[in-house]
Amino acid sequence: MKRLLNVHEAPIIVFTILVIVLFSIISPDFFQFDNIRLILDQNISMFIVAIGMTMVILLGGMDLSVGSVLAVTATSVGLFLSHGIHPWIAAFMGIVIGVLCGMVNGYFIAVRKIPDIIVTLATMYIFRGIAVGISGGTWMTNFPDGFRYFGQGTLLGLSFPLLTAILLIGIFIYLLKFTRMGRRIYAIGGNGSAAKLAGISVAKSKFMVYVLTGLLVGVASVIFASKVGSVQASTAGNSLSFEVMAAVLIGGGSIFGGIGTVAGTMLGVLFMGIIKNGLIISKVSPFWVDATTGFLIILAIVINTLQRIRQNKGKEGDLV
Amino acid sequence: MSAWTSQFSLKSNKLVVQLVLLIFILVLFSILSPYFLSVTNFMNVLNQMVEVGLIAIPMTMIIISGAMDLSVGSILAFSAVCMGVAFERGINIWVSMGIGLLAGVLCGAVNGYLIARHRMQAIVVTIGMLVMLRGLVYVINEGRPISGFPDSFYFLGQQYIGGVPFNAIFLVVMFLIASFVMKKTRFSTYVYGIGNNEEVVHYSGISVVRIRFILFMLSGLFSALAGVFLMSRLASAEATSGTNIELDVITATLIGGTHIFGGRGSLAGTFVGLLIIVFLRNGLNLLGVSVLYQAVILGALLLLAVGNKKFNGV
Amino acid sequence: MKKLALALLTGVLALNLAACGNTSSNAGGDNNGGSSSSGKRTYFMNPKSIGPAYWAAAEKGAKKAEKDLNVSVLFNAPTEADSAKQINMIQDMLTRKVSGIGVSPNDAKAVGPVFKKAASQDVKIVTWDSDAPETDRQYYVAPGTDQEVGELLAKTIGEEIGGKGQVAFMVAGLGSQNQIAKSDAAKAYFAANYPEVEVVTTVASDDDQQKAYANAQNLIKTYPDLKGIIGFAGGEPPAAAEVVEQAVKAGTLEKNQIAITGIAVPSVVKNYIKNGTIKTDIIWDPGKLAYVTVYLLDQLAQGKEITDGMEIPSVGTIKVDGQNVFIGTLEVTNENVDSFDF
Repeated sequence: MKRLLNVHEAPIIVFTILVIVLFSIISPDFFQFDNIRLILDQNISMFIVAIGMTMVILLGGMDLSVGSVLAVTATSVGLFLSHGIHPWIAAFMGIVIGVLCGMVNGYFIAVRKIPDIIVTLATMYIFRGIAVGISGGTWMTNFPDGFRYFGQGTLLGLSFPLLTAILLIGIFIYLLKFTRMGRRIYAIGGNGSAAKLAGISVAKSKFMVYVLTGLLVGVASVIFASKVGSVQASTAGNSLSFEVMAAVLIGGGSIFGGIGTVAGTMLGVLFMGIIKNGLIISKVSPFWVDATTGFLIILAIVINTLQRIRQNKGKEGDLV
Repeated sequence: MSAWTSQFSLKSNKLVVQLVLLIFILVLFSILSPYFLSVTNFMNVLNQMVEVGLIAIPMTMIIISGAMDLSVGSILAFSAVCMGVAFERGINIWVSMGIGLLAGVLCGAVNGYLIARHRMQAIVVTIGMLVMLRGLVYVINEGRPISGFPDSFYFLGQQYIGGVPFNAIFLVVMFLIASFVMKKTRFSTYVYGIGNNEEVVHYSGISVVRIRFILFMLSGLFSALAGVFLMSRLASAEATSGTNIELDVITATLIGGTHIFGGRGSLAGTFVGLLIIVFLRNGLNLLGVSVLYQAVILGALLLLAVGNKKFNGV
Repeated sequence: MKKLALALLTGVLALNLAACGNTSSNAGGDNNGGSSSSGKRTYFMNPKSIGPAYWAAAEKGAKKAEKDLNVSVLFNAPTEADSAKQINMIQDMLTRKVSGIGVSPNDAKAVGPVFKKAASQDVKIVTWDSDAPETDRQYYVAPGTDQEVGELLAKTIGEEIGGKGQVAFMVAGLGSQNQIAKSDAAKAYFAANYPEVEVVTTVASDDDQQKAYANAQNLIKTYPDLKGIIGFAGGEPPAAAEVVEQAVKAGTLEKNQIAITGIAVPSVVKNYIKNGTIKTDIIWDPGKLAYVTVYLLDQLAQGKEITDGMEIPSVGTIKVDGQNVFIGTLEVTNENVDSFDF
């Protein structure tokens, strides 16, 4: 029992279960297979973007530009499609654009050594401007039927986007846990100078992480566009970066880097998704939805922090 | 105006780049637009920058101390709406204003309590507050804007004294006071100290908790003040006011040379940073440049203005 | 020195961007944004925000008026529907000494002071799409009153679902005046004419497509007996239609189980209308709305009268009721959906 409680994600798991129980009591519609599938389905792009954000936060950085990158890639995919390019090629080119955006971020952060938050704040403005610029102010919509597969299709009886997300989550859990690259990311986030002295190329790892994040956002944006069916460049992914960051931190990540797991983050995303869905299902007044969401986010953080303090007691001198 | 800023910066030579940039922007737009270089336009810009400027004061301090407050826009709206609702219930406008400010301080205190006392991560706590307070705003007034304040209240945001907007004078006075505090008092030493090395400050027997707590309370207070001035200027309190203002504030602070990891920065720099972004926006508006390009230009400017600084660490 | 050089470089870059931004945003009309007061009359057209397809269509109309009337029109707004930023922009434009402003205010009350200032400088003021009553605005251009539009939407859905059942509202913002006015009117219409229609809830998307989509998903999940959805802003009907189509495809909903109507630009909902997911969509031509606004501003600036039933070239006759100018709404259905060019 004690060991179980010491699992890094334990508090958020317990809290999530509590919230689920609460919603199930309030509304019989909540705890049903259909609704669970709906929650997963609504948050696919969040899941995928959150993988990238986890790596960025592990490095001790943050990426404010993910929403704008999503807008740029989704808009350009829409543009390619409207020019009659085959859906698969358009999707691939969209992902390439995501990678390019990641490279721009990575170049300034890793090579020019400008702090992450400044670079991504700047690229947040720039990419958003570009997205609306290339869209010409109109919506990307009326996608061909072939394109719908990415957001709505099924493979072996399972939803294609869900499979993609599971596959990506699996790959990145493996990458972070069992490969050298993953260990390097933890090392840099935990103690940058020590990692440097240990011979790790900090710049290279950082660049890689941002490129991978761009790639993931690219994938997410293809699914987003296909699922929602229309893209408005000026608002697509507007609040995405804050939401995803909150999910990573709720899932046990630390903004100072070095702490956090992809699995924890996925729990964080799930937690946020459950709240959003549950509040509507239990017919809470629309005016209360945001207030309650914010309150639960803070509560989740409080619980996380208590856990961390408990774990750290005895390990080091307490700073408070 | 520029005489004032140059005098302001003599003490810190680090501001040279920012000042050159500001002058460059001023000259550039004066050439490009015949309307730019006029007293009315300048006073106009000063009148518009007050809300962002007020919040930038505590934000600079908080960033110097190595944290960040993303909830300022929601606190702004929350206290504005609290004040509006109080006024609608028939409470005197100035007492209502006190209630609004108190609401802001309370929000700041909640932030401070969680972040300072319980060592929670400032960014997450303030994102949570951002969502929650914005939601509470809708709960309080059901999304309907509140207006119909007495004329005496509009003095704060709309009145000009000797041709200069009152709220701009207020802002400058606040900057001068805050700048004095951040240069001459022990409080500032602690703030810079926490930003540079929290543990050392802690082991010197100074209460890090108290300093951080004060900083977030200040942030709440100034956000509420900004809310009051915005309400007075627009004659209306709405649920959406202050959305995304935190990005403007942080951008101004960073362009002004405050170090994002804390420990370095100055209010004079923030003031110049503020002038740079407001004049840039004003000039581009006067030229009729679409906001889309404005976003790209602002981003590029941020990258280049801040990017050429040396950042040590990893 | 190096820093100085870099700073200068930054400035030059900004200048270049500014220059190209300037030329491309004014292409075809005014040759230089900076020096247009001499000779040509300049009008500032200010929508709620830049980005939505609705405003892009309006911009086309404003640019057409610019050519037809041989005036210059600046079309700009903040990227988000934020009242403070909108007012800052109007103030900047008053400094530019434009002859008239056409504003779609985000907050009807907040524009009061800036309109007063504009009126004192003899700048003509016309509101369009959203009104600001009790201010110094001279005219308000709209397809119809918010009440008419709200009632029309309620009537459409009431007829489609046979006068009884659950209906849900989807709005862009819970705090937006014109959304509140329209949905209140729809509610009142149901209460008066279809007492058996129950409005179960109102969800807001904050103009975020993905949120609108998720909202619609949650709606059909939460209210299995839902009969109709009204989308009160351009983003809502397509999101609702997309969700319903997907649910029909997945077999969780039957075709035509949920009727959808709302306000949406025809090009965005074209496919849904052709599939029959949306039977009727209410719209007006935002381009014409903007065109009429510019036309009225130009008339006012030249000191001409605005009269009821006056003919506006390429738009037709308009109805003038006091200070309100109505251009009329359109119903988009399967038969005429291809005839719209916006």
